[in-house]
Amino acid sequence: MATLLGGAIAGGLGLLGALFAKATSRWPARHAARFTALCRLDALQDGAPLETSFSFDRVEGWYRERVKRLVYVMKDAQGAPVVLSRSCTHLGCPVRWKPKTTTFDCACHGGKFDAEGAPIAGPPKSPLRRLNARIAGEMVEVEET
Amino acid sequence: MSGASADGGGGDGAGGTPRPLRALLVEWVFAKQVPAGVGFLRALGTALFVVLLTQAVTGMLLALCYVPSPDHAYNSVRFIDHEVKSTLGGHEIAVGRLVRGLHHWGAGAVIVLAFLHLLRTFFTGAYKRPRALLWVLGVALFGVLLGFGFTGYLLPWDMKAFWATDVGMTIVATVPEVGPALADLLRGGPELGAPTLTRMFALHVLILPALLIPLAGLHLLLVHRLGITPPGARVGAPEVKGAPFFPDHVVRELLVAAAALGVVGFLAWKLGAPLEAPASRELGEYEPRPEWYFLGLFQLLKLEWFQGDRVWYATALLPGAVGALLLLLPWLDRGKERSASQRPIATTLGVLAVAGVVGMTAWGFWETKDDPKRPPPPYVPVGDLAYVPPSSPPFAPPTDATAGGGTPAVPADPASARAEALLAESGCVDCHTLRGEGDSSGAGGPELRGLADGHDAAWYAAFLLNPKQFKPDIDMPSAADLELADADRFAIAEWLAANARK
Repeated sequence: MATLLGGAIAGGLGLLGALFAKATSRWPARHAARFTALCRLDALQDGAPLETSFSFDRVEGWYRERVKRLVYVMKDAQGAPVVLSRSCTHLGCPVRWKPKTTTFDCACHGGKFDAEGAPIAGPPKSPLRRLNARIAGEMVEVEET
Repeated sequence: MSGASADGGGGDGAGGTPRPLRALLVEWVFAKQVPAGVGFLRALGTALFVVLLTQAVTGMLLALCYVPSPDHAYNSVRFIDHEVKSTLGGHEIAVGRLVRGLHHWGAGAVIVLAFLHLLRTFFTGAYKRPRALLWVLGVALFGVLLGFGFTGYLLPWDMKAFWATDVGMTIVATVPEVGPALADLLRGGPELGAPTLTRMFALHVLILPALLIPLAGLHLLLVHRLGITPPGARVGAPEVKGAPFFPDHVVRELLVAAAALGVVGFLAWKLGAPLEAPASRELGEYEPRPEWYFLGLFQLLKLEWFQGDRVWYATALLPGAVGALLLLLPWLDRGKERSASQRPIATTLGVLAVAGVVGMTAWGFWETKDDPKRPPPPYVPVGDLAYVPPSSPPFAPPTDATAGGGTPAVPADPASARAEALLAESGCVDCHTLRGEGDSSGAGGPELRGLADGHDAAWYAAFLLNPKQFKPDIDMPSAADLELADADRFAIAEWLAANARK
């Protein structure tokens, strides 16, 4: 009886904590994909990724944050827009396009990616992240993520 | 621990090595004895302890989401109420609302249980030798618990929180000599504001627990060492124990605790925790009221005799005297009798005091039951981009737009002048007004100076890009419709943010 009562109270508190932790561990809020304008389609030139950024509002619990993403935009062989995150897949420093070597170089630990974003030298083992992009009229739009 | 081993309590393991944890459990639980005839009234202390543990757990959970700053406190509390949800067995449970409800009603249960525990100890004479220190610790703990109530009350930052605390601080300030300085120290300034909120939060979650834990620990240790007072035994008579603590008394203790938690849980489930409109200095029809356990004191201040120069009799002298009497009780009452019927003077005074406290509190309830409340504004889900971030802090001076009149016709700085020129050129003022002029279309768009939602420039810039994304029903053209260049859009956004009501 004593064990039952004590166990019920302790178990109830434990369950409450678990449910609360679960409920508060799903931020930022998930929602259907939203796209935002990134640049004009005619701003993209062959062989020269465009360095740019986009911002969007993200809701984290009770707080709305303006998030900024640094990206490179270019066209693939079919003329579809490709948006690469500038965040190096090693430890997250921003990569920079080097026209002479046609690589994305990371200044932090010497990582190098080819023009497609695939790793070719240094510590990174996975390619630069590709963001979902689409053409809307004259504009390139990118998914807010 | 040696005591347990010595009386064969099983403190030694099979190989003869001491097993301290087992020895401790045997000493504190399994081999423990209580006097015969101990009933449910002796279980109130443990029930209080269990409810306090629950308060600690729910408090820690709330602290995961709560922000002690005027610009976010109210919204973080509303977020807990409306958005912290979880599923269990296919049912959605508003676990945030439940946890906040448990913490709110649990706080009331703590005060009720502490009061009943104190009354039981008083009327059974259990405060007498050798338990004087135990009693003194208990009285001090009662003060700490009232402190938890007072400091926790401000945290939701709604009308009731703000004004109850404001009145409470004014009461503190009436204490002679030290009052004003003490009130300033608690508030962090001459008026209730952002520093008050961080102070109350720090007191509630750090400083008061740092007092509660050692005091309660010592209280429990002494209860264990001295044992429960045998019912009716005279002071000095040998205290005989003859009933097992486990499981008999433990069951009584846990039953009372479970009953208290059951009531708290039911109220939390049914009612949640109350929340009014965000704190505001604009009082209007609103009547400030304290939490119910301070209503008695509050009611005392309404008596004419306690007004004017005599206000401190009620705010300092009476509570101080009651506190001092309680602390010194074991030395003021040195009689050998414990039974209430053998102590006519103490029992009579005790009954009168209880009647006074309960009567004043009930009177306070009666007089405030029909007071106007200020309900919260409609809730907009935070995940929806129509969500409007936190209400402005209640103490910003009104901007010239809201005060009306006397504003310069043309802003002095070039950036503002350019932005205002853009508002005219881009067609904003065809639907909005600027200093009361414009809106030739009659669309009725809001005055652009002093927008009430008070966002930052980045928000306005995003809003102008596509207003429908933020407010689906709005009939406002996008930046593209207006052929508004990005640089111009940012200039307007900066201006809107700078001129919005903060």
